[in-house]
Amino acid sequence: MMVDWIWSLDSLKATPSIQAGLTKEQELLYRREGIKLISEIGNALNCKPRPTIGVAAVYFHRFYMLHSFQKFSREVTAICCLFLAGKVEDFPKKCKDVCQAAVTHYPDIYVKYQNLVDDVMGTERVLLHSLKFDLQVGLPYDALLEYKTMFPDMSREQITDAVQIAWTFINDSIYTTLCVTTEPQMIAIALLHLAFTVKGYKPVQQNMDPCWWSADVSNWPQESVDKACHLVLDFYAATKEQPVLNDKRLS
Amino acid sequence: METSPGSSAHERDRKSGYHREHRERTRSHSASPSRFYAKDKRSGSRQGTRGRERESRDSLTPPYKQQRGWGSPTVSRKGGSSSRNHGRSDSHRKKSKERKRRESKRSRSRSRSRHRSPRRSGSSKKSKRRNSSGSSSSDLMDTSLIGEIKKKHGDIRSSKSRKRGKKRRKHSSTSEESSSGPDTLPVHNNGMALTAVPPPTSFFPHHTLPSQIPPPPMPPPAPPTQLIAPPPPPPPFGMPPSLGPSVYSSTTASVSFIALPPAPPTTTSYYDAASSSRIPLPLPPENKRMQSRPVIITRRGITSARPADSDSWYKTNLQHYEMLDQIGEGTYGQVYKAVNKVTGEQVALKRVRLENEKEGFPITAIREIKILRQLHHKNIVRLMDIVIDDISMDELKKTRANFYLVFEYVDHDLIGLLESKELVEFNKDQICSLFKQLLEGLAYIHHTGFLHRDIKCSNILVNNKGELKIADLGLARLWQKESRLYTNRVITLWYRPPELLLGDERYGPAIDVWSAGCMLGEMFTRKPLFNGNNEMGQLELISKTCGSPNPDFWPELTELPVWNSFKQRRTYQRRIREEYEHIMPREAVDLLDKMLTLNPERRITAKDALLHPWIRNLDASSVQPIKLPQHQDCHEMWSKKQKRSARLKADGSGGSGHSSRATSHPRASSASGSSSKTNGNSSNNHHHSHHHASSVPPLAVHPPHPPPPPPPQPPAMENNHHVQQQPYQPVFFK
Repeated sequence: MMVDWIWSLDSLKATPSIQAGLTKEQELLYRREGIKLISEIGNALNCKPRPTIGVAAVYFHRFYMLHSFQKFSREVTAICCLFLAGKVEDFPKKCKDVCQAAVTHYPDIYVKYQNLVDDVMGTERVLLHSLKFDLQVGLPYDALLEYKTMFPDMSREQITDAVQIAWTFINDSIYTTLCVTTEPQMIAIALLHLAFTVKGYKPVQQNMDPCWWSADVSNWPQESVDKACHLVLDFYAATKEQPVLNDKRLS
Repeated sequence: METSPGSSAHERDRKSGYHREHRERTRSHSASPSRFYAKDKRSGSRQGTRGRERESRDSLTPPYKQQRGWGSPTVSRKGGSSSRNHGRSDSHRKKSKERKRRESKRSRSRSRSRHRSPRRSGSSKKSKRRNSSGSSSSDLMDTSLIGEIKKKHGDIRSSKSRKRGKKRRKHSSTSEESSSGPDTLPVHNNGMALTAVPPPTSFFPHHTLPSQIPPPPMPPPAPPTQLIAPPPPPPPFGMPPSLGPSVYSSTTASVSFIALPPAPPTTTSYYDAASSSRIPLPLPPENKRMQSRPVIITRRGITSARPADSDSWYKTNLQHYEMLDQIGEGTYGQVYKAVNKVTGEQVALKRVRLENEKEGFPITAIREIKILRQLHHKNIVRLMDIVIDDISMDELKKTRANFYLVFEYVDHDLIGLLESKELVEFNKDQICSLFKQLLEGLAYIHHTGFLHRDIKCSNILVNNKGELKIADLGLARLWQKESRLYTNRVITLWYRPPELLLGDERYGPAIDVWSAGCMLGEMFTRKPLFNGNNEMGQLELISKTCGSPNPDFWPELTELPVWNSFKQRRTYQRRIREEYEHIMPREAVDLLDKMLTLNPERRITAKDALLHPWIRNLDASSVQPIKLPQHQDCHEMWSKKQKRSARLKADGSGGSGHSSRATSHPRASSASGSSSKTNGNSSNNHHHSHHHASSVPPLAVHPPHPPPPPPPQPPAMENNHHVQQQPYQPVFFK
């Protein structure tokens, strides 16, 4: 079940794809591949992770919480999300250009589509319908930048350093299902926490709060945050074994 | 390792633009107003508010302890619940038994993996192994980092849990188990069957509040239909009651909610406050589980759009509506009057035609939807829903189905009313009342960080009750000061301010104020103030009334792109007061003068205009209701017919007067050219004629009335004004 585009973690075990016969690992892999396509083709089109690629990734993850990979191919959905996110974020790319970039970068994947433009526009209608026209999507970056100013005890270098690392984590978190289970602000908190951990910084806790984020998010203990971080770390571990779309072919 | 090289590369790019982006984005906090998750808040905020209320009760206790205090009996994930459950009812005991059984299972599996799933520890080992062998790829995250993170993170996790154990012993006398104890199931005390509680496999522990704490006195239940917070304390400049105060808080979502019954003590988010006090309880059963989600108390960053009407959003389909007549030709398709078959409510259905779209769903429609979903104001036309032909997903993918934007139905548009002089008359109080509403809507749009960019009479709708609604936000966009250049080819020529005519690309909300000023004059004179043929002609007309632009009182003038090539034939003195004091009340002229200030920096803002004596002193009770033609909506099919005949006439005769103006107008180019307003690369708004656009009075009623010019179109191209302007310059200024 889902409230306001945030699903419970149980829903991840029973997505439409899994119900249609995919295993959970396969589904996660398919998601990673779709996001990789968004990311690479987006880069080729000079789209930025913030906001266009980030928003497209959120659309993609949400879409496959509602539809199965068996029914809607991830390669078409991926460029469709990118195309729509461009329009929503006021950096529109022509549908033709998006498709061209896709074919150029991943000929093996896209060569079988004769009418890619039509496919993308057809999927766009389904996508808009599925997203219920809730096109405005918040990304963790904004919250992260706000948190940047909230650690007066840290030196400027320290916090800048941590925020930059967290920024990279956020960039990479789009490969995980974090965005369908966690609000953007909480993703920012979790990954900033991860960055602090990586650098060994310990933010001074005020008011004896158990965690530095307790004033902003209650009912969210450290171990839950750690689990969120591990989702991203697991992604790194998984892709290290086997980079996503290494041979530019879908699995 | 695969750290998505792209993202990291961008990361580096970004460092330079870091601060700039931050600036840009901070604007949009205010721009995306009420977008907390309504349901979330409803489910979560009860906890949140309880916490706060408690905080207020014993404010001496540090919040941490408070949390611990009410959290300890049930909240802890790590075991220990059995000892806490003693005083409870049998059902609870049963639950805890079952829980224990599951616990022990889990603890067995846990002890194997030391708090981490086998897979995780495995992967961590692997990555460590890799690190030692030293792989090469490096970006910002070099490979060794993974192992490092994993190691540190893992270490910290375990040390944390050790610490936690200590802490717990310190602070909570009831919990005796060690930190290495197994996870327990969350205990839900709200009478939910255990079976409904999922095991805490998620990384959101399903925490709930303890039942021991007596629930805070609930405010009197709100009427069941009322999902939105009731009016906050009157906002500074007469803003709508239905808006949450969060809309007006520009930086974060924290807003103190003063007038609410059980006033939350300090800063609380609007949603928490609003929901706790008046979202009808009990919650629907499916929401119960979500209560155990973490609760965001203070919102940071931009949250996604959360319109107030989200409960009714996207619930209907086309079958719910009975189409009546076509009432206009919109930006991207026909507009129909329709009736909701269930509620009997009249609506306007604006069809989004996809047949000829090369770029899929038109960007203007996307923009309008995106923005209207964020704007909720009594003076802005309400986007109620979006419906689609009732077809399956497969069909939807294959066929170019129609989408319809469902708007509230508004009977007339202002141009239709102004031009049917015989039908509608306004006295000065009525004009003041209408104009006040316009300013309120405009001030709201600006406050939320948007620019309308197409204020004109045909985009202003008026219903039979005399309520004014701003419509057509297809050209609107989020505005961020100094963030990027915007196209200056916006706003219908006659309503376009001098800075845009001079090529300014760093404009701001002042452009809409100018347009509104033009409308103020027009409401009294009933004809456009400055009806130029082209940009230079427009500037000339403006100069005649408002005085010639002069760097002495407008220093930034010299930086405008067109200023250097702009040669004035003669200089004019400002004579706006002289011209209008016979037509308008003295105070209205004063406001007009302030709104039609050439220098945008000195032009009055919409917010300040609302404080102008003329507007402020309006006694709403003394305003007679406007006699509007109840029998005839002033936007109708024959207005289209009228336009068509005007166009034919113009084509046939080479035209004179209005008609020729209309065709020779830049609109022609904007209609045929490509037109995406931002990148100039899509082709969406062919005919930017308007939703409810009708500038024509009822033909049947007033045949002799001359066909007015179709309102000029907002040209949409980026940066090609120089090209277009060239031909006109010699004619007018050399």
